[in-house]
Amino acid sequence: MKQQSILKKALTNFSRNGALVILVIAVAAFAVLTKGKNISISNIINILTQVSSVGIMAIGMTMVIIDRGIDLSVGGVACLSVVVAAVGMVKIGLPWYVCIVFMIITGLLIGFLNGILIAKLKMQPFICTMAMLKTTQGIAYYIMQGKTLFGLPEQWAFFGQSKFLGLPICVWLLIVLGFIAFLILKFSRFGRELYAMGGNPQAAWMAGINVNLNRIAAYMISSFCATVAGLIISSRIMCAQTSIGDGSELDAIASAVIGGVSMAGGEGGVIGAIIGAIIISVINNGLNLMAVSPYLQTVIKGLVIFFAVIFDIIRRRNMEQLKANQ
Amino acid sequence: MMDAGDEILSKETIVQLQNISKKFGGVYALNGVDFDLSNEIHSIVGHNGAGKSTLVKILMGALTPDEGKIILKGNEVQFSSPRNAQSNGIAMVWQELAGFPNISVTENLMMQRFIRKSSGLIDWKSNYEQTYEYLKRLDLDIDPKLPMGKLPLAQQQLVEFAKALSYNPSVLILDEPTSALSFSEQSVLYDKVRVIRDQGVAVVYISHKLEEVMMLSDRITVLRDGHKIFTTDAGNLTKADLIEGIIGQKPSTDRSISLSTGIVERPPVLEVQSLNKNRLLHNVSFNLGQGEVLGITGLSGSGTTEIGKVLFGLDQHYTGQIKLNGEFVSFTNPQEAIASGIGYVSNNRKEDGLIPNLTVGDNIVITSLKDMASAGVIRKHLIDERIHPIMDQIELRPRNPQLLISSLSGGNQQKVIIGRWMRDGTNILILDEPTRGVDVGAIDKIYDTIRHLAASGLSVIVLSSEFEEVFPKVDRMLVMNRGHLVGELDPSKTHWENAFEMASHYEN
Ligand SMILES: Nc1ncnc2c1ncn2[C@@H]1O[C@H](COP(=O)(O)OP(=O)(O)OP(=O)(O)O)[C@@H](O)[C@H]1O
Ligand SMILES: [Mg+2]
Repeated sequence: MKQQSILKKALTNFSRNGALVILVIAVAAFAVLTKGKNISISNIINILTQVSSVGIMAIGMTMVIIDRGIDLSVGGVACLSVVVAAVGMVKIGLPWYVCIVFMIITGLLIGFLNGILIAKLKMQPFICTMAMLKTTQGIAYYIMQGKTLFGLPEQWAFFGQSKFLGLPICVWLLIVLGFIAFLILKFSRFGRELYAMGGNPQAAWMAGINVNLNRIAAYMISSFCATVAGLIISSRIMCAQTSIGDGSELDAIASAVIGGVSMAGGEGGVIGAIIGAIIISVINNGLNLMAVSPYLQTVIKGLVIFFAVIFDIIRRRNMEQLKANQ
Repeated sequence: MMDAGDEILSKETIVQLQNISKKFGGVYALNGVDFDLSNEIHSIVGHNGAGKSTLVKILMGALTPDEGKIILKGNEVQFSSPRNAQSNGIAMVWQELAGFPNISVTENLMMQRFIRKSSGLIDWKSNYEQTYEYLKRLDLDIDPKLPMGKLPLAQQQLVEFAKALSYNPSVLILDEPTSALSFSEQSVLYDKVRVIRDQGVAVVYISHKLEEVMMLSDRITVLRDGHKIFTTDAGNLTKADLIEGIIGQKPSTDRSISLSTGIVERPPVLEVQSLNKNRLLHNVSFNLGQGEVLGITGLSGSGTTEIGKVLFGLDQHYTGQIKLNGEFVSFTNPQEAIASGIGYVSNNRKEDGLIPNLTVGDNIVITSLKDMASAGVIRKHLIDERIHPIMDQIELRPRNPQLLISSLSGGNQQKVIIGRWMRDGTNILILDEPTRGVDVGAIDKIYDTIRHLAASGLSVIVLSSEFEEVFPKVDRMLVMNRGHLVGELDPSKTHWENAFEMASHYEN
């Protein structure tokens, strides 16, 4: 009896989260198509490792989008912060842990700048963060002068390559940050206020919410997440180069949207966004295993976004219908 | 009057709604309601959440009924969208303003039917002229190029009315059209409604203002909890009958008896000294006493709203002094005002109050998340402890904190917005038109709550243009006239007409 009700609950929760349905379908489909190759333990870990950096970016992106914003600068932030750390370690010879601190400070500063410009100066988030993307990328290009910086200390590999309890550290980072962000959005004052701001910024302001402060915090969180993503990527390839983070803003946004985060603000959550990122990765990985042309893969990725969002709209409509007929 | 009613009854039916039912989330919003309409002014009244808006939304094609038929001029119809209804000659002024604040009045009015040049491009000049002409029909002198959002609420409402009329509909639905209008604006609207009725239009009129309903209607239908209670000729009905129909029991007390304690000496909590604001406020000075309910009334546009805005830190363009508990203050934003113990309910619920994606409970606690959290973490039991007594106090219908606020009826939304200020930190509560769109029963309830809060030490300012309604509920009444404070009255000693007289007196 009890088991049944748990099952029922699990099923309703399951269908409530549209992204989860898509994920299961995708995994199952590729399991058939690749004859089970995609669900081998090693491949799953492989997928999760790939997902970790975009997934972490999607966490910060979700917060910003809930507040009716967008952060296009995450790729630039990831890149520049890695470049700063690498220059510190390789050129100046600072210890790696000091450079991580510098890296994070760089990220937080950029996020703070985004936040100030958007909250106080009322710059449009899209424009402001696009300009920030160009600026940060440009600085990184200028510092690197087209070269790749090797020779990172071996401890650096820890984040992208070491394992703990069978899972790579970067996957643990995704899990831990995702869980913290989930708690923040669901159970913290900041999180609840963010949803209110996304729903009606004017009313939130008049209810006494510190809209500016929260907004700045959201952009700082997004930049922080981008920095951690940069750390993971550079740790995996053990060098600094300007291609780090390139184009990842769109992957992060796509993850959030596939995961049910509404671009209109005030709706969605980080778990969905992370599942969204996993969906993209599962599909990429499955297509790779099937040796599908990378050009075609891009097309398929685009179609998946269409499919996921349409699916979500239909599902919501049915839920409402269901509720009405109860 | 009676004769006219009889004659109208014999007129042929234009619209018939038969046995309409509609459920939301398992609860009946409408349950087997019949409604018919001929060339008349047919009012629908009922408490907040009675199903009035739902009924007309069904007629307008904005909602599909679960059961029932719509018969328009003898044919059964089922409109798939408001647009569809519009092309069949039905027009509606929505309860929650449906205009677009960011685009011009002209675009709002002419949308989907712009006048074009032979080249196919929009002919702006003709569109402006046409719009001006539509507005003129209602004696409105508004620049058609202004963005809708720049107009005061009352004018926005009138533009919506002008828009509905401009379609030359055969059925016109007005859902609380006068809720934001001043006295003179209301009478323009009444006249116009009568004129179009005489021209053959069938009018559905929804309002909580019973005087207006009784004066304007040919027939009245009362809804309660989704059921039709009765439809009758307006001439056959007394106000007491009407109230009884709406609330389901005999009105208990005489609502015009003053609750005022009389003007008594109280320690001032708020002192306003020679407040001036370019053309809107002239040398306004007054005190608010501890535990006092102070009414500031005036016709719309007289400056009452501006006083509220200044006190809540929404407007810094003023001169003059404000003393709070003996100390000079000047707030630059609402947050500072709230931190000093001021709460504020604006007269624009949709823009300044509602957070549509959140539940009722979240909308209530939004002002006090700080007290609900320890170390930034929200405590669920604290939230429950807070919202339940508030929901009782405001008599929320349905009493369910998990519902999205956007699914509540307009009046219940208003009660939630007021409820969010019932918190420990609030010492002074400023309410701008707090009973706009609220039903008779709930109006009394809201004032009861206000009196109750005042008795426990809260000081309240009620800004209003409803002279008759606020007069008996406040301890002291200030009257504004075009930015000047023109009088102070003791409601226990005088009559509301005196306040109205002072507010509308015109001197050169
Ligand atoms: N979209 C919706 N989803 C869920 N419930 C709804 C929705 N629209 C209306 N309701 C519910 O249906 C009932 C009737 O609402 P309706 O808006 O028709 O009331 P009303 O008589 O117009 O009230 P008011 O005078 O406050 O405007 C209310 O209980 C309301 O909460
Ligand atoms: Mg209504």
